[in-house]
Amino acid sequence: MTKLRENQDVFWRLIRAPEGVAAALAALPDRERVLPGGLEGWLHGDERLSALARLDVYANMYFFRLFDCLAEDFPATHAVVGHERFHGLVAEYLAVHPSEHPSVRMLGRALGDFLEAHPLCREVSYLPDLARFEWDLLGAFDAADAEPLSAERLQRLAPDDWPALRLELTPSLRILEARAPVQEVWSAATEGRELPRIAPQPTVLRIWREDLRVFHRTIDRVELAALRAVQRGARFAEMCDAAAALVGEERAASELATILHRWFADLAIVRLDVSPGGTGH
Amino acid sequence: MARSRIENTPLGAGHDSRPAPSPTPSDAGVVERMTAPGPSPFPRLGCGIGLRREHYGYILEHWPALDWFEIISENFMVPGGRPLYVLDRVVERYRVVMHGVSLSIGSTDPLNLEYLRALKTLAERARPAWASDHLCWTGVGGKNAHDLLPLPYTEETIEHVASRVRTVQDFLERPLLLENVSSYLAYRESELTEWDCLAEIARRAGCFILLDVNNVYVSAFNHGFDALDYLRGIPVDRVVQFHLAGHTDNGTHLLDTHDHAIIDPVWRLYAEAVRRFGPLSTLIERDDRIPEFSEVAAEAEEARRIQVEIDDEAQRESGRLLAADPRA
Repeated sequence: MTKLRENQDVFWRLIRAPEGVAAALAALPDRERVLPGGLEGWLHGDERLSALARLDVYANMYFFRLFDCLAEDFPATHAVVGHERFHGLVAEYLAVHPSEHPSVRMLGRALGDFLEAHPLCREVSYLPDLARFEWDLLGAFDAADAEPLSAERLQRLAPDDWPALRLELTPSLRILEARAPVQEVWSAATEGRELPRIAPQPTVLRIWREDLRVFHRTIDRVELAALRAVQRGARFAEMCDAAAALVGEERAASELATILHRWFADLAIVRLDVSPGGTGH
Repeated sequence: MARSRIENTPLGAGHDSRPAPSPTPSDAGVVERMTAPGPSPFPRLGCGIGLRREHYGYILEHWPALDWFEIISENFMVPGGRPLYVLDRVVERYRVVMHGVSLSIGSTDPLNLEYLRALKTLAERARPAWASDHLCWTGVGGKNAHDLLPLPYTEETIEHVASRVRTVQDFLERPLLLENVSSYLAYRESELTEWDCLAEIARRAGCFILLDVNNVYVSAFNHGFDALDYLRGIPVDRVVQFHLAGHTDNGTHLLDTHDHAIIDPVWRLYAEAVRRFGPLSTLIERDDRIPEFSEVAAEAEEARRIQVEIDDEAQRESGRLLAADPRA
């Protein structure tokens, strides 16, 4: 290992330690080897600021920059948990999921999953889903652009085209299956209203972007089945079968018509294809 | 979501208004005058400000008169949506420079090729006058601290960084500017000053320098060196751009927070930099507690005023010299 490598390795271990630089230094297993002269032998300190205090500046900057980032990206999770406990949550999260991406935008990628096993979840069971909802809003915000298709394209289809019809969803579209209506908590938190108490109630949310604005809406099980079918690349015939399995053939047809109409109105469809084989415009 | 937090420091709270011992003597003319023109491949863009999300609405509505914008590259390395929408429109109307925060040129990790590809793709879109990043490392072992961490100033660092800069320049097919960072600690193993290290890297790598005047001021205070020595140690023909920003005085140290107005001693140091390096492209950075667009733009205007003042001063001086020259 080169000197520079060792330098960076120990620097990184010390500034990211949740217990602080001094405690991390004391606990450093290979301290004698990597810092034979101690901290003062490694870094300059002076009467104004000791070597330890100087390294602490970096440790604080590391933590608080990332804390601010997560608090900004997860405003409702932050509000529900409260500032102090969010601080603790971020420290624990960063210990397990430090940033591995050049953009700080990706930092919260695993917060939802991390919360599943977190004690806070015993208190607020919907917390992982709230975090996932906030992550999906971010994902929709800067997802790839795509030109939406006009509903007229459907009207131009011949009756024989329908069974083979395949749709492509806008890249910003996300589906979240939550344990509770977390969007109500999110709206209250981001609008500065008092946080509502929500009861567990399975809620499916569709999140997508129209032009530059991000929207969400709750969807029913038929739309969920239809969306999952589209995501699988299934044809319209399979979508009908999936819907029929839930509500019967008769209702399935009329409900799917409504759903398709809504998807086009929401600018959520970017491509359709009726060829029997591959894909096309 | 666009953000530019990397250059913020969250320790801005507890600002101490006690005047800091100035690392800059206020008497003008201490630094020798510019002796060579700026590097020719780089246009002089004038005085601009950092493109920040808080100003998107204002900019798109008013298209304010401004020489140029600098973007934080990573904020636009996204698939689509508002950040790229805004960028495309800004690029149509203004000159743009790309400023990165995650190149991690000093890291001992291998260069991140995926990142470099994203940078190159963004450059095709933004058509920047140039691209810059920092003389620092931002992470190791595949992890990113999202902070500008200091390097020891050693031969090993010079060789390591210079060789990586050459690789990056070859990959991007454009020259790179390296910026001096604010720092809060120094390694005992350092064999030379920061400015000598930066100058030598620029020489060996054939890259250029983005001189952050506020960072010079902050580091001068934190390490007790003379900011003017720093300016004197940087070769004139390598500097292409200046950065200016505010910082926070924590009493024991200054923090590069970009959340305050630029203080007078930094303006005076900037004037010295303009005397030495010329009226180079100057960029005002504001990354936290971001005020209205007009307030940041007013600082760009102040930078321009200083450039004009120093140009007038130089012309008066050359007039005096001509008048005194019997051959004239």
